[in-house]
Amino acid sequence: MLELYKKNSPAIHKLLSIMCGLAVWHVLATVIVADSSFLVSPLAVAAKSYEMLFQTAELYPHLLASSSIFFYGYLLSIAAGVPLGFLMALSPAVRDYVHPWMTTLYTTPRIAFAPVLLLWLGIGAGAKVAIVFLGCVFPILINSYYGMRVVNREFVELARSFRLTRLALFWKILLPASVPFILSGLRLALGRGLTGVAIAEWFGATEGLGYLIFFAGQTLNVPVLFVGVTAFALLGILGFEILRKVEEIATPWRKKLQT
Amino acid sequence: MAIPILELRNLGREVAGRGAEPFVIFNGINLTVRDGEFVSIVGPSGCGKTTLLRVINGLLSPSAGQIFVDGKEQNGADGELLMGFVFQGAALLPWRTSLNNVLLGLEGRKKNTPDAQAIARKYLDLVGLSGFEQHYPHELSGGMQQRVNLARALAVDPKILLMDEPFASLDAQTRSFMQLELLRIWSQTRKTVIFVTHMISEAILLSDRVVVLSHRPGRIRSEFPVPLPRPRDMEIKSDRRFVELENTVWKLIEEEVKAAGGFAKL
Amino acid sequence: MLRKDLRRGFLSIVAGLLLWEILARLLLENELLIPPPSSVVRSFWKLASTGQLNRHFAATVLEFTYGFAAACVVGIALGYLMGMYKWFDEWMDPWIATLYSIPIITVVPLIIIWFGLGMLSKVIVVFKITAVEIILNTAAGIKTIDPVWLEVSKSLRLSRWETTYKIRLPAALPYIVTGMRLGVGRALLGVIIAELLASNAGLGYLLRDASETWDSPKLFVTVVLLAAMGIVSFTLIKKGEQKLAPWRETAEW
Repeated sequence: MLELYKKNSPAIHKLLSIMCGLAVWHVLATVIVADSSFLVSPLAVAAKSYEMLFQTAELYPHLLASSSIFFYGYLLSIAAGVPLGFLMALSPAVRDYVHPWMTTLYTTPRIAFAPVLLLWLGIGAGAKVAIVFLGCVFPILINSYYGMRVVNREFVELARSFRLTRLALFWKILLPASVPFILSGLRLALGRGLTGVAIAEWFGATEGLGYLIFFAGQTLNVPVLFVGVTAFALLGILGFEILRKVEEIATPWRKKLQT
Repeated sequence: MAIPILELRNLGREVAGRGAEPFVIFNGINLTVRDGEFVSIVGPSGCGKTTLLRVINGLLSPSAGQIFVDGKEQNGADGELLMGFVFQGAALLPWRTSLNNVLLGLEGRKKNTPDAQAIARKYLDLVGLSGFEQHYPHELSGGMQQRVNLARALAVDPKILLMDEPFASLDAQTRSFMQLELLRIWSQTRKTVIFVTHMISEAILLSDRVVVLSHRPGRIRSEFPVPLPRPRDMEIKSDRRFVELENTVWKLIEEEVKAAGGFAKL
Repeated sequence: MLRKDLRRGFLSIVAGLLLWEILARLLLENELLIPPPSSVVRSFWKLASTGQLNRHFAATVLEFTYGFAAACVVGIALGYLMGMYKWFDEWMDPWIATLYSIPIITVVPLIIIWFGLGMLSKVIVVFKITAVEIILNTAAGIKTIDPVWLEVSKSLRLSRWETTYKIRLPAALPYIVTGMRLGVGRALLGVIIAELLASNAGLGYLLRDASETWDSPKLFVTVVLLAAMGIVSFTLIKKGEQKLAPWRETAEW
């Protein structure tokens, strides 16, 4: 028994922590606060989730709407961010001209652009995808740029010592060397993209998890609010797991480095 | 007399300095290397020996002078692939296995494509790494990484092998083993080698000739033929001629360092 | 004589603004869609001279400062404990990880329900965002300390307390500062969102007010102000990072 505990103590501690936390939450919600427009117990959240998933099935359209906005914005960011990052790394002129605009756009709280984008693109999918795009594109762009800039100087010399063409230098040295950086950019972009989805759906949307949360907040529907937040968290975790798999496949040479 | 495999004529390199004066790394370097000769370049820290090696390869451009290989003048890294470069830090691409690292220089060179794999395997075998073809660099020890580094440079069958302190980051024991290995590999391939090192005994053990550079701006201070028979092993280090040569070279370098302002300035 | 990259950057900004003005004036002639920079400047003066700008700006800065300061204290303390004691780390980990993986803005409505429409809810939002970043980074910094330094400390017979503030905390400082930097960007976003959702003061409120009244010049003033605030806080953090941990290179961006 003691042996088993010693072997798995981290997992056991975490499990205990989760159970204790849920218990405290339950007591807090049902006994101490006892106001369902303020706080509901984890059991109530579970029951509501079950209802929305399997009985009324009302969660699915929201999930679908949020996922597709996220998907398009994310893919567009990769399509635009990676090449532009590379271009900036390879051409100092491009970097110098783009840099001030990029810093401005990157450091401005994204929410500020939401009303402007809605003003320009209307309350359709276009504005929402654009908001997600604005959130995702910079980490991807910056990491692509940075990955290509910090390539080991000896690698570049190596390519030159073998008289590789510029094209071969790009494909065989610079590109693979930046892959880990691009992947960490993708990881950063994931969280920002999900935040973007929520922001986008608060402004004049009629579906999506962001709308669900916003609407629940307005109507003090705390159980639904919790369901929405949980769904968002699960989407995020799913995304991270997918990225981890991608990372494993794309950079097999790093597997042993991390463990 | 036959055309030398490598000839440096009045070679110099300078870069922009702090003030108006350019910063001269080395100048007036004249050196002739026979085919199949093993030449070491030694000198005090900061004499520009590594830079010289990069200029010879075309990785850096000279600000004066000419480089001839087989009587043909070289013009930078866009030219033909005639030299192999062995890097100090191994510079193995972490995303490529040993075999694929060795293949790098062979890829895209049409004359070699059909049996590029076989060639790469042959050289991995030569450096004693058969069985490690599918290993990634991080799975190899420092000495093994340097072996792959060497195999990669040899695999393109260069006329000249340029080695930039390849054993500097290895521990003393591994370093000795690698020196013996290099002696063995050299005796099998008989490549012309220019070997840069700061370790005098290493230079003498390996070379036919030791070239001593002066302190900055680097110039050729002296050249010594190594009067030792081959094949050599570690015992030769206690040979009287070895010890004498080592002392002579050391005195020279010591003078250079003193002229430059003493050891503490190194 | 300016450096080449700065000159190009300046040129790029000026050209962009000019293009914007021309585009807005000649082609669109529609203040609603894209107000020209000149009317944005006019709107800025109007807001500034009536004291409105000052009020909203002060509200946001204050909320931000309170939340950030509290997060630094709590975050470093908790992060230190998590880095030092494995069992504490294991007990905290599931909850910190959960807080971290939930997009902040989805919990903003909940925080407003719990802490009201006033300043407190915004301070909590800033606190939550920044604290999580600082906790995670501090813990990582304490955990990844080079064991040789601890041996140095032992060999010199330093006390536990000395080891903490002479070795562990300085070693973790670059990590802590990284946590603060990450926190600033996200917290700024968080506080604006919270103000936008429910408040009666702050730049987020101004943003909502401008977009609801279709006052485009005012909207752009707010956007530019937020951009300026982002850049200023980013620059300050970068400078602070260099001051606090000068032995480390800072991020280029």
